[in-house]
Amino acid sequence: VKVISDVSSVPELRDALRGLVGSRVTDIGRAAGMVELGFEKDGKVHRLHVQCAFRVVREGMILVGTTDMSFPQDRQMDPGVAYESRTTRFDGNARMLTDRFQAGAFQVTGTELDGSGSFVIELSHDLRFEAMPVCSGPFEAWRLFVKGDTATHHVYPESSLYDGYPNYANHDWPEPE
Amino acid sequence: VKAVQMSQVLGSLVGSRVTGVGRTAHLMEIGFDQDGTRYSLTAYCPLRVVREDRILLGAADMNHPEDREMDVEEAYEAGATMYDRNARRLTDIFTRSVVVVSSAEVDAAGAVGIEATGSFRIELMPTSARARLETWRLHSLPDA
Repeated sequence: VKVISDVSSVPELRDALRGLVGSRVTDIGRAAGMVELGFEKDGKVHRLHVQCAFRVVREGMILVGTTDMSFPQDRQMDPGVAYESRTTRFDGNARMLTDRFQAGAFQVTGTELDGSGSFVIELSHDLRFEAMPVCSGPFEAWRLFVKGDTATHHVYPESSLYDGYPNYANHDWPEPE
Repeated sequence: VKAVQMSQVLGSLVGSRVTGVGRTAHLMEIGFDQDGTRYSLTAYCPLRVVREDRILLGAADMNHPEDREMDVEEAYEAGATMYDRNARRLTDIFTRSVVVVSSAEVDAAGAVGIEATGSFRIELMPTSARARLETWRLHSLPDA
């Protein structure tokens, strides 16, 4: 059964992200090509699924990002095999980060969302989660929800919730002034 | 090259005209013209062109064929993806209208934001921890 999610406008998405402030980051991982992030606050588990460009940054260094799924940890290994066996550089770095998240308190201190779906989640210890949607069509870039609450999912973009393919980026292409 | 120097290099785009968007296989390209000197910004990393709040083109558009019934690989090879269609539309706009870079910035982790007149914004975001992986490059082109 396909759960019909809430259609979220950008202000609603901004509020939903802001709701993560004060939560503790629990894990980073992936399901196929989708990044999964976990947060915990007041006994509730928040999940953030990211299917667009994503990276974890600390003081100007990228610690892990979506492109790392294409590279095997073991250079001799085939990238496809590494992807299937969860031994890409993404998997290795994500496991290291998750270990750190489990060992110490990494808290969300702030969130930002621009008008076209890019978000920044600022964490203690100078860590940042950054995402940027890079598809003009009706495909899900990211989704935030509370585990167990199937009625309220916050999804970007709205158009991903219906079949918008016939109108794929057929929105305004006006001439600049 | 340090971030400060990167900013200076990108800053040389300010005042230039955006001339077009394209790709060679997976390498995305944006063209600029600064008083006859042509620059090309090429990106392997995620890229998008935004106008106001609309994403007009993005790297992931390469995964979607213009003709829904067409095979994805075939569309990619034939230059018939949504990326290609959107790039053609944008290039048409940049050919007909003068769109000029008003600011260009890069953050410490290599993310680029280029603002242009007409509310256009070009954004790039490197997404790999690998230090020696090329994500983007700005270079001048020889005279036509």
